Formats: sequence, C-alpha cells, structure tokens
Amino acid sequence: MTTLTAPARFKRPSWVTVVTVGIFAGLFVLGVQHAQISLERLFSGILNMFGFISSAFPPNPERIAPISAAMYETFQIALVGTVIGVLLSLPVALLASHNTAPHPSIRWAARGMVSAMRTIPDLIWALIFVISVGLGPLAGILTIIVDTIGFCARFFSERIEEVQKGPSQALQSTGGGQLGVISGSIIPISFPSFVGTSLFSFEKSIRAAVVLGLVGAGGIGVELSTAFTLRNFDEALMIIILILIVVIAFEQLSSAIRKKVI
Amino acid sequence: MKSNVTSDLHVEHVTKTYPDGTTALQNISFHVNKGEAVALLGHNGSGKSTMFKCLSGFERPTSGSIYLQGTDLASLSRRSFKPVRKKLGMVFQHFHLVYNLSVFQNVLFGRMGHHRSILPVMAPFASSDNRDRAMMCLDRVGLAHLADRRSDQLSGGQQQRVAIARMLMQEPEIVLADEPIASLDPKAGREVMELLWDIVEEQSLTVVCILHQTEIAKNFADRIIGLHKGQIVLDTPASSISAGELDQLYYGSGRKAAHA
Repeated sequence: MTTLTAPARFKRPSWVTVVTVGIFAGLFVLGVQHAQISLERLFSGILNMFGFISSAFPPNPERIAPISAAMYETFQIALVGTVIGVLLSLPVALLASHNTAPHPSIRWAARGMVSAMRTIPDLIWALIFVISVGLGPLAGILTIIVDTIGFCARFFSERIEEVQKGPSQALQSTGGGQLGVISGSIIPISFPSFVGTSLFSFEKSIRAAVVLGLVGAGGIGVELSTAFTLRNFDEALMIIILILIVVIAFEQLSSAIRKKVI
Repeated sequence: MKSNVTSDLHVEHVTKTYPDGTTALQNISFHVNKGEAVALLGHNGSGKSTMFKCLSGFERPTSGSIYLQGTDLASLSRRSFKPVRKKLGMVFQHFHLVYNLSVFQNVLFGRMGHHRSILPVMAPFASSDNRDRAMMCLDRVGLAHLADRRSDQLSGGQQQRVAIARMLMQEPEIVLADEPIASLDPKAGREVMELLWDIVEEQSLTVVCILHQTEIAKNFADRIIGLHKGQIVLDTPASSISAGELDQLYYGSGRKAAHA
C-alpha cells in the first residue's frame, strides 16, 4: 500500500499576489487617513443627520404643484431621451456587431464611440451639454440620449452577435440581400431582448434625469438643489418622496411589461 | 468531364482544405442532370456537410470548380451571388425558420430574392399576389390552417414543412437539402420526405439531398453518391445498388449491418 499525500493545506501565494495585495492595502490606509475619518467626526455627522431629519419632518407639501411639474419635466426628459436614444442605438449596434458590420474598421469605430459614451459619466455629459445648449431640459435630453446609446447599443450588439446563424443563412439562401437578412431575421429574433433592454434603460434614465437637474440640465434636480441650498429640508424630503414614488412606480410597470414580452 | 447542356450542377475536382489542415474534400467530381434526384450519403465526417456548404456557396472550395447551370460559383462576387442563390432552394436539418415570427411571414420571406427591398415580403405590406402565393405554398404542404401561428409553436415535422413552403415560394430550379429529416422522428421524417419528393417531381426540380438513412435514400433518390473520408467511393443508380455496398459505406468492409 502506498501512502497517499493530500495537497498541502496552504500554498505560498505568488509574489505578484503579495505585491498587488500590498499596494491595495497601502492605498486603502492612505485613503482612510486622507478622509480624516475620526470617531469625533462620525459622531457629529450622526448628530447633523438627526438635525436634518428632525427639520425635514413632516415633509412640506406646500409647493407640491411646482414640484410635480418639475417631476413631470424629469419624466419627459427621460422619456424623450430614451426613445430617441433607443432608435439611434439600433443602427449603431448593427454597425458595432461582427455579424452585421459592413467592415471591421467601421465596427471598431462604432464600438469605440459607444464605449466613450458609456465611460464618460452622465453628469459630465450634462455639464458639456449645459455649456453647449444652455440650461434647461434640452441639455438633459441630450445627456439621456448619449447615456441610452452607451447602454442600449452595447447590449443590443451583444444580443445581435448571439443570434443563431441558421435563419439568416436561410434568408440569404433565398437570394435576399444583407439588409433583408438583417431586418427579416436578426432584428425580429433579437426584438424581445431589445424591448427588455430599452425598458431597463428607461428606468435608468429616470434615475439619471433626477440628478441631472443638479447641474442645471432641467427637471426635479433643480428643485432639490434649491431646497438644499435654502435649507428647506422639509421641502427637500417632499421632493425625495416624490422621486421615490415615481421611480418605484416605473420600475414596477417596466418589470411587468418585461415579463410579458420575454 | 465536358460541360453538358442537360447538366444542372457540375462539380469538378473540388478539394476543400480548412485552415487547420484538415482536408474535408479530396478531388470530388460529379454532375447532376436536370430533374435528377441525387442522395449524398456518408457517415459523420465524410465531407457531406462541407460539400453542402460548397454547393450552397457558404464556403469556397480550396481548388476545383462548381458550375451551377453553367455559372462558375467561384467566379462570383458576393453581390453577383444573389441571383444564383435565388435559383437554389435550400432545406436545412434544423429548419432555420425565424422562430418568433408567424408561419405566414416565414413563407413570405422565401420571396426575398425576387424583390429589391424587404417591404414586399413583409406580411403587412406584401402585395396580394405574394400573400396569395404564400397561402398556396402553405396549402401545398398542408399547413394553410396554421398560417397565423408563431413558428416555434409547431412540431418539428410541421416546421420542416413550413421551410419547404418557404423554399417553394422562392420558385427554385435546384433544391439542396441538408439532412432534412435528421432531427425528426421516423414517421414525421418519412412524411416530410414524401412531401419533398412529391413537390420536386411535380416541378421536375433537380435535387441534391444529403441523407443519413440508406433505406430512405434508396427509396427516394435516382442516384446515390457515397462519400468516405472526403472522397467519392460510390456513384450508382439507386435501383441497382446492393445492400452490401451501402453497408460498406457506413460500416466499412467485413462488417454486417446491425440494422437496415
């Protein structure tokens, strides 16, 4: 009988692991020091928080009409931006997918554009658009369009690349052209997934549109920012509650639709 | 081999080597006359599927030529391939319907090669001529009553019949079928095969059908071509073929067939 040796209980980590963990640990410690986290500050922070909550309660519904109007504007920004964004995402996604792109270089360009749109945060886009088209909902809509393309074109393209070859090959074999094959098989097969992604993107847009107002791109964010600056915390709470209601309502609605479609 | 006026399909010295070095087809030559039905037999890896891909133009042979009614497929660009494709009706093992669209829409798609844009083959915009024709094709395969169904709600045999209706809609001159009944149960497979053969006989179409089942090949085809390791090992009229020859194709020499 031979003695069987089980593998060692612990293995020595490679030096790469040791160095990486070391660097991250160092950065973490520096970060904590830099933020000057102390028990004292945490304690006073909790007290301030109580101060905010006590002056925010009860929420103040006095300005409910202008607040609702602003919320409605936020909703419009999200809706218009998402619809236009989704419509633009489809051609962009077709250009960015390896099975539908007319040329690899176009595919690269389209992918690069989509990643840039996605990687630059929406607040930065909003700042750029506020500078270029001025304060107000148009800057918000443009931001949401860019944001939607960054999200939808990427997921549309992933779905397009997953489409089975068979049906496209069958349509191609009837003598159909590339455009016919795309609109006859690739788009219909991907359609349920497109709808799901678009609804998801709409939920995301409502949340994004809420904060866009903070930099002046229209909607309820403007009201929220003002309420905080004037220390009208009871009104701020009213606004936050309204945001919660609207966002949750749309999330429920869209997940109900998604379940039906897919 | 000389070019033959009555020959629809001419395969000359076709060799296909894949980039990884495997040779799928070695110097294959055969021709199929107008109205002739040829069954291409062989076990997995014999080169049948590669042959199908080369015939349908989805792959190009490494060397050799394929003439379709006198046109050399290798000489065609992607664009000029379209009118040739129109003449080629295809039936696939996995039907390849656009599964989440209606049966009717799938049949209409068969007409795609006849129009320059896609609108005339989209169900809401199609001309009444195309719509009537699609219904006639569906009726020919016995499924007119299911026109409005979503394609993936149909059974496998029914889906293959829809694919045949789509092929009919195309009005092809040559039919290529890639194991049309391999994913069906024996009964449905037999029905589909009978239907397909009735139709090609009715319209005296040229057929190349890749098959697995020797019995079926013997019953339906005029001629049987056997492939083994990328070479033609058998090319005989179906009527004169012996069971031994077929067994040898599938099981190699010196081994009796376990089943018919």
